[in-house]
Amino acid sequence: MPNLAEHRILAVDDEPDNLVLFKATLEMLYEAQVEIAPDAETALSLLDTYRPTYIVTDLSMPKTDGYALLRKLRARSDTQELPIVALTAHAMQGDKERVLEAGFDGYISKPFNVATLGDELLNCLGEYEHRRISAAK
Amino acid sequence: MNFFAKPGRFIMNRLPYYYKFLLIGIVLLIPAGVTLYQFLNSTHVTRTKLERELQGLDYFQPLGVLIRDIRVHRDLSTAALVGYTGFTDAYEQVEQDIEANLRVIDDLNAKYEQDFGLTEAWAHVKEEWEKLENPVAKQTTLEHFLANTTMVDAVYDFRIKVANNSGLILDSEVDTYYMMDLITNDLVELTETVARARGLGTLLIASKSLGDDVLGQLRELNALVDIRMDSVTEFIDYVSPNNPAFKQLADSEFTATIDSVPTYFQNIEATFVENPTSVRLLYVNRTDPKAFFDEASQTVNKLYNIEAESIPILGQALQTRIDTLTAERTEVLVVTILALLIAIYLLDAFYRTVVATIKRLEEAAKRLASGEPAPAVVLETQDELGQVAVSFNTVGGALVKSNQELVKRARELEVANALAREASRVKSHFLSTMSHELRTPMNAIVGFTDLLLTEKPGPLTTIQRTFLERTSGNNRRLLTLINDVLDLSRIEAGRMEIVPKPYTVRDMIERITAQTSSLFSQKGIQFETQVDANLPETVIGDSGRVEQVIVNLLSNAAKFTSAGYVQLKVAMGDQDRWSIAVTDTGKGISPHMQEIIFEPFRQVEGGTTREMGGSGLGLAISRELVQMMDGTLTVRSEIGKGSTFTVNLPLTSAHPAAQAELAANIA
Repeated sequence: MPNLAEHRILAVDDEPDNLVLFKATLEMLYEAQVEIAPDAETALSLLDTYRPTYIVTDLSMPKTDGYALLRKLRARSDTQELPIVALTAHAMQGDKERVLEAGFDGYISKPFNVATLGDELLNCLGEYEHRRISAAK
Repeated sequence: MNFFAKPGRFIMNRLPYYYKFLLIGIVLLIPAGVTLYQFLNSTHVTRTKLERELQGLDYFQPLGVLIRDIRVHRDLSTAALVGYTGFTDAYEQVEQDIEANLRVIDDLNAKYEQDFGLTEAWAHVKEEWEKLENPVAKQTTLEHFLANTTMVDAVYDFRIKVANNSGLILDSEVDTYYMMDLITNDLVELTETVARARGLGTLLIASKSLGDDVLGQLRELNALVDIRMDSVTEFIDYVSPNNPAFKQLADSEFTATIDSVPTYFQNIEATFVENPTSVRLLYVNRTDPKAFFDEASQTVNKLYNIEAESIPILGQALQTRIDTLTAERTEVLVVTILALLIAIYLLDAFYRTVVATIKRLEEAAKRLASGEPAPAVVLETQDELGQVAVSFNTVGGALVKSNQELVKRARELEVANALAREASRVKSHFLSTMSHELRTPMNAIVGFTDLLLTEKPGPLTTIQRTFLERTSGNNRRLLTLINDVLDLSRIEAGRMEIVPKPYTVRDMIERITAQTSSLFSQKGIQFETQVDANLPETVIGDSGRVEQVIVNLLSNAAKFTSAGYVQLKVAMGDQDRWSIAVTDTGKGISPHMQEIIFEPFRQVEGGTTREMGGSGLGLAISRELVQMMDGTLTVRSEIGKGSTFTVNLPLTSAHPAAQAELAANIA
């Protein structure tokens, strides 16, 4: 049974309020370890020192958006295989499909439910593990 | 009539114009050709006949001269037999003339041997001549005279044979027939009668004795001459009206000559005076045979001249007929060929105008079909095809006009479509941005409120918790409102998509039950589901949208029911459709409200929303979604007893609305 407390989570979002909420929710309710970055560049610069095991990113960000960040992460050998989940206010029809098609390992829409955010992240993680096992076979 | 016309139309309908004209041309040409051929052939036959007659006529002049000379020979040689020597020089001359003439006829025979085959008959004539020149036995003067007469008859016979073989006697034209008869029979016989009288008279004078036998001959001649004269006069009367040249001669010479014959015989009678009581002549009151001969010869020669002059007239008559035939033939040929040429010329012109007309119509039609602005078809022809062109121009003009109209409309539509697409894109972009921009702050508001309520950040006083719970409730309401407004906007902007996929109805019902059961348990209402066993396990449609609609109906039912139960009933319907009915035992909806509840924001006016929460857009959205799925959403309700909302959907959703929208977007 995966446990969020075992993970080093990196959250990327250009909205400071949402970053704070995300960090507080996961730390307070799930005792997870969360590092935050206000943009993709900061996130990338944190990789070497923080070495995250789970990355959650917003999609709409100035300069480098979530999709571009995903491509950059997938291009690096140390983050190529990491679970990367999109946490976005793009909750229109087709947004989820677009996100998964782009290569994200999960999709969580904003506003997220504080009570179930951890479970959702764990679900994503479970599906990610399942896919990895299938691919390895 | 139709039966009669059918074969012709059948043929004409299957032939191109070129063959149509060829066929008609051939059908007309064949009888024309046959008739022309027959005419030319008969003309040729007649002409050949006439030419043959003319060839036969070549014999007549020399034969006539021969007969004349033999008669002279007869008279002179007979006179010489009784010892008269006055004719010696003339006799030698006439013998030479006869020999020369025989050679002339020899030449003619050689020339026409192939045509007339007269060699044998001519040999007989020459045989007679040989006999006359070298008599085998001693002859009396009368026998000698008669031998000469036999020779004359032989030449007559030969001439008749010539006339027969050349077709002269068979000629059926009145003038030539009687002229021929005059020359070969009657006139010759008259002349012979007169000539014999001359010979016998000369003999009597030369011999100075009156032999009964000779006298008898003379009497016979005298008796014959009237009959001969009558028939000659009669025949001249036949020919004259039909042949002007002959008539002229007859009027000026022939009649007078013939009229002189009786006088001639009266003179002879006067020469030989008869004893009334005896058959013997009393005396001969003349002594010079030559004087008598010369005198008599005048009448004989005049009669001969009639014959001699008739021959060229007969020839001329025949030639005139040949010329007439030739002229007729030329005339017919010229007229026929001219008519034929004009007919061919007109047919050709007809064919070309028809072909040109059809070609121009075809070209114009092609131009018209290819969408070019076709210029009006201008035709020189003013016939029925010209009328077709006029009609064509009318149709073409109308087509061009309507085509221009269509092109104009299409352009306008294109522009309108582009504008609509652009508007739709802008709307869509706006909605997406709005959605994102509204959710982003909502995330923080909802999240922090809920996080505080967990008391993980710190313990709350009762009043703080109460206020925060109220905040949270309004947060949810606001979120629902935002979601509903966005949904409705998307539907109205035409951006809501129905994605049909096969799904299992029971799975969906289970998901819905899991999602909504707490709503009922919280209020202590019973909730039951019923699924028709006849329903197929899998249907095709957008399960997400169906689910959205049913959840909305169930949450409404939960909201408006305070006691009793809520039932979800899934049933098989008619004609490949199925239905999902949500029944509650709530307070019911008045008939007036049953209409209004499906209209957006109308519940707000009625104050229901304020009372019961929710955006008031749920039913409007649900009905729009169901209609997009080719379904219906209806309500049946009774105040105080409850309501039933029924969704009716096709088992296999074809989504005509979605497809029509798609088609509109593509166009």
